[in-house]
Amino acid sequence: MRTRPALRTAVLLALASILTLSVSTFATAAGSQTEIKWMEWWVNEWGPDNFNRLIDNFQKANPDIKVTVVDTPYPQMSGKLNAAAAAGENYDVFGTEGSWLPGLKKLGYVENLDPWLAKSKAFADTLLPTTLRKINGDTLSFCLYLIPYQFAYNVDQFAAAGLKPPTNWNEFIDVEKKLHNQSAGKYGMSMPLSDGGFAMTRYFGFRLAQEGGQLLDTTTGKVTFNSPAGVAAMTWWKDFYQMGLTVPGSFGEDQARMLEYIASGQVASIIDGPFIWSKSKQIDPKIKLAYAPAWRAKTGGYLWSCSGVGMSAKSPNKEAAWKFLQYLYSPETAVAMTKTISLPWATRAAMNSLNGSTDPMLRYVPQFANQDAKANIVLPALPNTGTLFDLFKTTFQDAVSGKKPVKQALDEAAAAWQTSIDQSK
Amino acid sequence: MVVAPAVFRRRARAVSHQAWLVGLTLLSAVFILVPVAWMVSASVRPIREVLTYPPVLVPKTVTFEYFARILGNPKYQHFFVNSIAMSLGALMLSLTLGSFAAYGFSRFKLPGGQVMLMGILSLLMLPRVTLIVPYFRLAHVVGLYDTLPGLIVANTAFLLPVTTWLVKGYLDSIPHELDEAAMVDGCTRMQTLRKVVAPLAVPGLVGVAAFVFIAAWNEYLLAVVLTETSRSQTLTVGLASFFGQYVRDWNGIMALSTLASLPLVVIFVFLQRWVVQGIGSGAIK
Amino acid sequence: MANAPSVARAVAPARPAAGTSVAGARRRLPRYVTGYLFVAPVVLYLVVTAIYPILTVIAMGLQDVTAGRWHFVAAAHYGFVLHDPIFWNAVGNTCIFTVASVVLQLSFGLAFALLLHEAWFSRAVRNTMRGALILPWVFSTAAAALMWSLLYDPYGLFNYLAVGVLHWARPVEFLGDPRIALGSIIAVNTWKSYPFYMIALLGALQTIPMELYDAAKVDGAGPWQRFRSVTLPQLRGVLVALSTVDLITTFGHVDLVNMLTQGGPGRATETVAFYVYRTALLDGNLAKGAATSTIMLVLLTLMTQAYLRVLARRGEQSW
Repeated sequence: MRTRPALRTAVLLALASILTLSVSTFATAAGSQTEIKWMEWWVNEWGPDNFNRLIDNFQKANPDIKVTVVDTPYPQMSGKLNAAAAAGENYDVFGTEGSWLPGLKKLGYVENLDPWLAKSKAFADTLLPTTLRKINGDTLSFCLYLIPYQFAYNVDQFAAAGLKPPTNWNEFIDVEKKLHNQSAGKYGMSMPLSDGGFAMTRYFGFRLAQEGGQLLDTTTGKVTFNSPAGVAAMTWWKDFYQMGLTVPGSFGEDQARMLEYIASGQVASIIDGPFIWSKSKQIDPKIKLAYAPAWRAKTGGYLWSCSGVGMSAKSPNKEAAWKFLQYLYSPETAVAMTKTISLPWATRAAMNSLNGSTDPMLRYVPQFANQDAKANIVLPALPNTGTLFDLFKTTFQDAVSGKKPVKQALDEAAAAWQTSIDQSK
Repeated sequence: MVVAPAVFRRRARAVSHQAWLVGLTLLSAVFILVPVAWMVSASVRPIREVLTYPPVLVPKTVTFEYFARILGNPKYQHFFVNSIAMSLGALMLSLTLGSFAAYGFSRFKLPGGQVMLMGILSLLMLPRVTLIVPYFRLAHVVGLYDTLPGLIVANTAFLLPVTTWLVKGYLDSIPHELDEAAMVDGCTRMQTLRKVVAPLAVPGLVGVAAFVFIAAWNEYLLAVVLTETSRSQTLTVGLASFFGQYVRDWNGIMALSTLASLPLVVIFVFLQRWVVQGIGSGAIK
Repeated sequence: MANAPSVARAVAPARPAAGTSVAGARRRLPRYVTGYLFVAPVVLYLVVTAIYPILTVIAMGLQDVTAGRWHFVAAAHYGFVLHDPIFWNAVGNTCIFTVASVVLQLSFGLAFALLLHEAWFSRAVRNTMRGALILPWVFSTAAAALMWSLLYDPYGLFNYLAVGVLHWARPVEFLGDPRIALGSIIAVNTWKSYPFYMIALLGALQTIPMELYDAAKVDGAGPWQRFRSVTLPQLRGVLVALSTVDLITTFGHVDLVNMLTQGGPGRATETVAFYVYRTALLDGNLAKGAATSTIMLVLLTLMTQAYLRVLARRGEQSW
């Protein structure tokens, strides 16, 4: 009597599972196409229409391949990808940050793309050297779009204030001073320092490149951001931070809030990637943003990062998956996507299409890339990224707030990074 | 004439008592409901109006397009239906099983009962971010990945411990003497359970039911990890997808959250009335 | 099942549980077998659905993985985590967060339950307030955290009051100041979860027989004494259950930290669950995350045990 509810549910559940099992086997048996699954987080980011067009065009050109899109919210993406990798479940193609690759590689989930590139020489030539994300010499994913970080400003607010976009770091400080009005609570920009990755890329890394430094020595794997160039970069940011020109509460601010500040007109400038204009338009459709022309300190280098795509080592349909990857990077796709969603696609064709562009953000991207190519920093795919960036967050906060001397803070962080990187080998 | 001042004084005391009660509640409610009011207001006006400084307290533009966008989207209609089915399923499963177990733990001295009670809680003691890995695998192995029954089963596993503990808490506060008296009067155990214990436990069960339903309704991590199509996805997946890599869709988030919380409030108010009736007609003499 | 009666004979005399005589006399099976039958469905359900995941997590913590192959590393991850000062800092934060949240939620929940349990001049108004005061709980955590991050913002409503209306020199950095960030999160968590207590205690208050209050009144007990001698003891079972469950879920809480501060400023708001989240998902180190999870399981088991034992002792002395 008293176990009946449990029993009934058990029977129901058993029935339900049998039903689903049989339905799903039936469904797969019926299809004669090759199905590849693409797990990503871009449907809303790129707009469902753009996204569907991308898939439809591929399926039209390749009627034998069906692309099933598994759209996953970005905040849960790494969790699901890790769970899939640990469970050995297959997503033939997956969107990935460089930081997720080391963990996925440990789980044996990431296909080495070098042999595939060797087979398709012509295709390999259409990619940029920075497109390939390498770990220990193996190409584990391709950057889908490349992101430089540069000073951008609200065109209308600058015009109203009679300001010109700064053309170097000193003019940047001048502009921020003019935008600042303590008594009115107005600030020129905000710095979301609750995110270590942000502090590393937008601020420290940007200035480090222009000081002629590097984050890591890629040949020896040695952490080098505590070099004299690194100390100079961090000291620059410390001095800037202590001028009090940025919105208070930086240590509790995240990147989405920073975007909301500029998009809602709270601040008139920002340092970020080229996507911010299209993203800001989601909040204020009328807003006009533009990049300042390329800057130069000791060098003209820029820091670049990217989100990308990888291929599953567990995929039973690697040929089809590779075909799809080639399609994503084909000149037609690359140029079209760069234009429609304002993300500089990581291919030669896309970069070339930006020469002579009139887009107020994208037109400077080739300049960032080429004005001092040797001094550029490409954010490497690091192991234990969460922990490393978190260490860097406290380092940056301690250094700019004066809690620790710059050199000491950087030395400690570099030592901790080195230990963590060495341990994971 | 001698009585009148006493009556008057009693009345005055009652009025001041009411003033205290109502005043205190309303005052705290004002503070508590400010964020709620902001959330609702952010669902009916363009977000840049909410993000401006100084804050615009009274909406300049009121629009229901964000609600319409969600309600008119077939995908979100699916999400709604799935959320209801999933939460109801988890509610029934965990409340039935959990109540029986609670009765067992409350009314019997079970050898090893303490260990079992603690053991039941251990699933709650592990962070979900690590538990999603085995649940993802399990769902695939038994073929319940991307199905509603799969979500119900997984959610129930997390809700059962809470249900069992809470219902046990209520049952513990119902005097054992009542059951015993009924059994002395010749009731069987099931009769006692149905006629004596259950009616007394109803208000408590309603509280637990509210908890279980709301917890299931708002669960998102399992929902994202164990599903991949709108066939089985719930509202929380829809909500999570409003959080992008660089920008979050405030209007979408607030409109969907407001919509999603409406049924819960309605259910709760409805349950409250039912509880009051249950007591009125009920077992307490 | 076969040897149950013999066990029963050995155990039953030693445990003269209340009311054994009545039920026991009529049945041949010992009483607790009936009890097990009640408990069995839940235990079975959890054995089927929870044991495998729990064991997987524990096993994962003892292994490491390279190129998709798992291998045994004994307590290597445990050694790392237990020697990590960042982990112990997180434990400290978590304890403060948990204790403060549970105490505050319980206090507010109980206060509102008592207020809303009283007879109001209008039942409709009271029931409306009951509905209104659960609103923080029914809104999704994600939406609530987002709204609070705006309220706490230098350009948010609270700082508008501080700077714009009260003319303070600088806005309060609710989430950016290491001294108050954890408090800010505790405030949101309390706001979000007190209705859990409120609803549960409203239910419990309705089950307290009025006769007990009348008897206390006859004995000349004032409102406070009635609360101490009738209400609290009657709510005891529910309060213990509620606070135990709340203690456990709050200890493992990660969403608010993740959405409001990401553990910062510095490491002022980093909790154990956030540490696990970062290790397992942001680092992609599932094994170490699993080891940390297991440590959390042990810590929580000990804490819960201690908590229940203290309560049990207090219970004997009465409240």
